[in-house]
Amino acid sequence: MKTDHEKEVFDLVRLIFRGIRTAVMREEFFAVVDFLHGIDSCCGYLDLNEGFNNWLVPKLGLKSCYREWPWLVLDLFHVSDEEDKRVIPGQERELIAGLGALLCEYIDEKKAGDIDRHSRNQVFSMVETIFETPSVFVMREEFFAVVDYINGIDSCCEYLELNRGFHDWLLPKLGLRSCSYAWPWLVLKLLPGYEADHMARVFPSRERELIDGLGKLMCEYLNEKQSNAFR
Amino acid sequence: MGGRLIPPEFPPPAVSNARDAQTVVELRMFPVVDTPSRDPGKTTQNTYRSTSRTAQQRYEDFSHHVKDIHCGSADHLTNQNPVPPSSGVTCVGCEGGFIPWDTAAVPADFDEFWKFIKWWRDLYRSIPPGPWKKYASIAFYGVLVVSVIAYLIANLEALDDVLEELEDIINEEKEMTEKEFNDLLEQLKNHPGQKGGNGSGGGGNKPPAPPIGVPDPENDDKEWPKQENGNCEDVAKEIYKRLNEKNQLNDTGAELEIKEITSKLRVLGPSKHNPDGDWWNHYVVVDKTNRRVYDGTTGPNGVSYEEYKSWFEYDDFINWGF
Repeated sequence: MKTDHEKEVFDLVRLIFRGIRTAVMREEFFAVVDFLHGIDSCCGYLDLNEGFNNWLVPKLGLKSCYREWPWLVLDLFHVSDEEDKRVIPGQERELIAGLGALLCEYIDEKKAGDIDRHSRNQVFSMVETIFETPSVFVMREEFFAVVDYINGIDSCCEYLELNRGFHDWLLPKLGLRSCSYAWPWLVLKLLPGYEADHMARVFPSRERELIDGLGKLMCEYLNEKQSNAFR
Repeated sequence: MGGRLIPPEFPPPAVSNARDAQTVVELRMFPVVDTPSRDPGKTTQNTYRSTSRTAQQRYEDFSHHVKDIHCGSADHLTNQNPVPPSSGVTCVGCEGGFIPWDTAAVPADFDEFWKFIKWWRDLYRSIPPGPWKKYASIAFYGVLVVSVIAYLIANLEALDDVLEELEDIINEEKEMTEKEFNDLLEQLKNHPGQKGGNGSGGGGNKPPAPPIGVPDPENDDKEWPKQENGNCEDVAKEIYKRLNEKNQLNDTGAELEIKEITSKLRVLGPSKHNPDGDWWNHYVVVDKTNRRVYDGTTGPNGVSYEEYKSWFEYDDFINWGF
């Protein structure tokens, strides 16, 4: 029996693939993967690394496969990623649509998961861990990949409150009363010398610095949030 | 002269009723500039002319000339009591029971002159055909031309008076028409697509209030708030303030509200004025009565709900609230 929250998360996943540009920062296959990993790390309903992986293997005519599910999806669509975990830009949309179709099919077939959602403290500690070793969590060690991952977590749990809480927490630091830009752009504004282009990319050499900068801000915010919760 | 006058026909055209007479008046008084017909199938006679004076008023304007010139019967001036045609040509108005415009331009001794011309014509016609008739015709046309010239010279002063009067009337009509045109233009500016009220309350005899978003002269010098660097909440507040002032000033009864629109997921996604799609929320002013949306990109006229939503690529992923 699927719980209400589990149904909510599944509906969210279906929704993401219909309006992908409202969910991820870049319309890229691996950005969607990061977002889904974020959801999956927060609540185990999707069970991507085992359940979805094993569901994909027979579709490729294999009995077992050591590769992770994103590459299995690429194999299914006969698309090869380039060196830096990127696919040819013209194939991104098609690939995302294909992933959506597969994932929705998988969700429909999937039985209720055993793992329940994480607690507040678990989520907070997980977010802090992401900034320590981002490459473990995201496909590419990039600022916006981390953003997508954290956004994935935030979209299925109410603890982080990135769009309202973190966004509004950043505003006074910028001397603003309100701003319509999403929180990642506020972070970029706050970290001097870094500006994302219209493709939401920053200079590769500064990715790590940005991730660290975001990590510091995020940890500060979470600490404040946690201390406020205990008051 | 205000407009070029078409010289009166000689003799005056036969017209069958007062409406035709009025049409003749209109056609000759004003330069022929037709406004769009209300009824596309109709001819020029039925063309709608935007003048403030009624046909009856215009008719009466000429009547004082006519009284002096013709038999003076009041019946002939109003067409209320048509008179049977008289045997003689003493009054053109008597022929049809009304006075057409052309006769107003004819001086008082026209009847005598006309009698003479007819008599001269009949005399010429009575001459039997023959070789010497061509000499008679030279004499006939010579006398005719000389008498017409003499008649015109004799009546020049009277004609001048009539023409001056006509000029005054034409100028008056022109001024009124221009005023009307300006009023109409103003009305159209304030009510795009509407001729009568704006359908949003404000009944009674009050003039129809314009939609709140239309710029007024007081605020024309103020630039419409510009949207930049994610300042849409401040912009929305400024727009609300302006629209609300105008709303109260004009008593439009429009229901205004600042609305925050948010994404159902992470960001609003690409839109016409934010192609990068990196806004996570946005503030707009909503006119619930007229179903229009205003923000820093819509300009003072705003846009309809539907049009505004269509600017967003993922409009069904947005919590609109309107």
